[in-house]
Amino acid sequence: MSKLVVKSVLTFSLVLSLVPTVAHAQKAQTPPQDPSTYMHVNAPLAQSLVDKVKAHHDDIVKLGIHAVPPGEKDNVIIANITRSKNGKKSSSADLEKLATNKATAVRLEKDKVFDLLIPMTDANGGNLDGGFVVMEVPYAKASNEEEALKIGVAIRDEIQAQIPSKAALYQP
Amino acid sequence: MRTYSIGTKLRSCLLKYRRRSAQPLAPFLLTVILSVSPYAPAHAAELAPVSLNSVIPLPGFVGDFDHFTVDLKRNRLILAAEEHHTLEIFDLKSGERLQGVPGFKAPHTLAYVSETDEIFVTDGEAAACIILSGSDFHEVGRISLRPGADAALYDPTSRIFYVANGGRDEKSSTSSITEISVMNHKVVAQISIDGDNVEAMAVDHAHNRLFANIRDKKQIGVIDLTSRQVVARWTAPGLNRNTTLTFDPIAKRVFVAGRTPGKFVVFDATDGRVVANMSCVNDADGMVWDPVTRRIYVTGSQGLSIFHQDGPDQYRSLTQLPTNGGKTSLYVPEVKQLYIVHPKTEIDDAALLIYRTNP
Repeated sequence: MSKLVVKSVLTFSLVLSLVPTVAHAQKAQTPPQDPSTYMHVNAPLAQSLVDKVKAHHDDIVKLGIHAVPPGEKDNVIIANITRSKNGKKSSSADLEKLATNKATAVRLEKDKVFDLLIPMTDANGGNLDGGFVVMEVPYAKASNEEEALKIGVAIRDEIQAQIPSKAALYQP
Repeated sequence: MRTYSIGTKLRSCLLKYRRRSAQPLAPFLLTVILSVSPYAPAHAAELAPVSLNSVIPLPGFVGDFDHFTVDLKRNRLILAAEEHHTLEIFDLKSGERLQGVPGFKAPHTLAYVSETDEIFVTDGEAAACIILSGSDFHEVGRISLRPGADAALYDPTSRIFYVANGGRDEKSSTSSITEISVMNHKVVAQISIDGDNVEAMAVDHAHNRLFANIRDKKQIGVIDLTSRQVVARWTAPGLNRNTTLTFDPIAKRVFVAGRTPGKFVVFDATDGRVVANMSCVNDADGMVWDPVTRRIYVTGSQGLSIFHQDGPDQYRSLTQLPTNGGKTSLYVPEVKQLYIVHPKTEIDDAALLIYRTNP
C-alpha cells in the first residue's frame, strides 16, 4: 500500500514537472497572431504537397507556397515545411519580385544558398491569386543562379502539376 | 476588368506624380504598387499573355485527343476525340459540350469547310478521309487512303485538303500527301515523300510551295506544288521529332517545333536558314501563329510556350504555362480564345481548357 502511494506521488510529481515544459513547447509552436503580420490559413492540399515534395528533394533546404487565400486580400504563406510560418504575410520584397512575373534567384552569401521565388499556377495554368513558391538551393547543389533556377523550376513544375485548381489547395 | 481598373489607377497616379514632383520615381512607384491590394495577382494577370477562362470537364474520356476545327457560322468548336472514337461538339464561346458524334476509329485532323458546309476528318485506322454534313453530322462521303491518314491541312485558297497518309502505319518507308478537292470530294493528286512519318504542313501561296514536317528524317520538306516534287529539305541543330509547323507569309518565316527535346525553330522560308532555335515545351503537337499580336503559341504535353516575334529574326519567350498534359490547340481570333484539350490525368478528368488571350 505504501509503495503504491509513493509511486502515485512520484508519478504525479513527474507529470507536474512536465506541464510547464509541454505548455512552453506548445506556446513555441504557435506563431504570434499579430493580425498585421499573420492571418489564419488552412490549406491542407498545399501543405501535403510541400511536405511530400520536400521529402524527396535534398537539393533544397526550404520550401513554401504563397498565395491570396479565398476571400482574403493579403498574400500570405499558405503552406511551408516550417508550419509555424503558415499565415505570415508575404514581404513587400517578395511581392515586388512577383510583380515581374519571372522566376528570381538571389545569392545569400551569409547562408550560402540561392533564395528562389517562382510564380506558380494550377495544373491548367489557372491563376492561384498571386501564387508562388519559395525555396533555397544550397551552393553545394548549384554553382550559379541559372542552375539554381533549373532545380527550382523543376520543383515548381512538380508541385503545380498536382494542383487541380485554386480551390483544391484549401481542401483536403 | 479589375486588371484594367488597377492599370488605369496606376497610370493616373503616375501622371499626377510626374506633374507635381521632380523627385525619383522608384520609391513612389513601389509605394503605389504595394498599396494596390491584392496587387500581385492583378499585376501578374496584367502581364500574362493568356488567362485561363474556363475548364470544361470531360468525365468518361480516357486516352488521347487530337485536333480541333471551328464552325463559325454555328459557333461550334469541333474536336477529334481520337481514343474515344468520336467527334465532340462544343459551344464556341462558353465551351459547353453539345454532343458527341460516333462512327470513327481514330479521328485525327479536322477541317470545317464553310463553302460546302462540310467537315473533313482524317481517320488513320479507317484509312480514309470521312466527310460529314456540317449541319447534322451525317456522313456524306468517304475517300479511301493509305493506312495512317493523320496530319492534314485545309487550304481555303485552292480548296484542297492535303492529307498525309501511308508510311510507318503500313510499314512502308514512304508516305503520300494526298490532295483532295473539297468541292467534288475527288483525289486530284498524290505527292510521294521519302519518309515514313509526315506531320504538319503549311502552304506558301506566293511561291506555290508546301512545307511539311518529315518527322522520321528530322527534316522539313519543301514541296513544289506544280511539279509535286520535294525540292529542298531543311533541318536544324537539335531538331528531333518535329511535329508541328506553321508559316508567316509576310515575314517569310516557317515555325517548327521539335518534341524531344522541346525546340522552337524558325526558318527563313526563302533559303531554309535557321534564324532562331530556342527551348520550348516537350512533345509539342499544336502551334498557332497570331499575326495580330505577333505571338506563336506552342502546346505540348509539358504545357504552353508563348513566343513573340520582335522581328523576322528576333524571337522572345514570353511565358510557359502548364496545360495538364494538353498537347493540341486552336486559336480562334474572332473570340480571342485559345482552346487546349488535355486527357485524363492522375489529378483530374480530361478537360477542355479555354484561355483568353490578353493584348
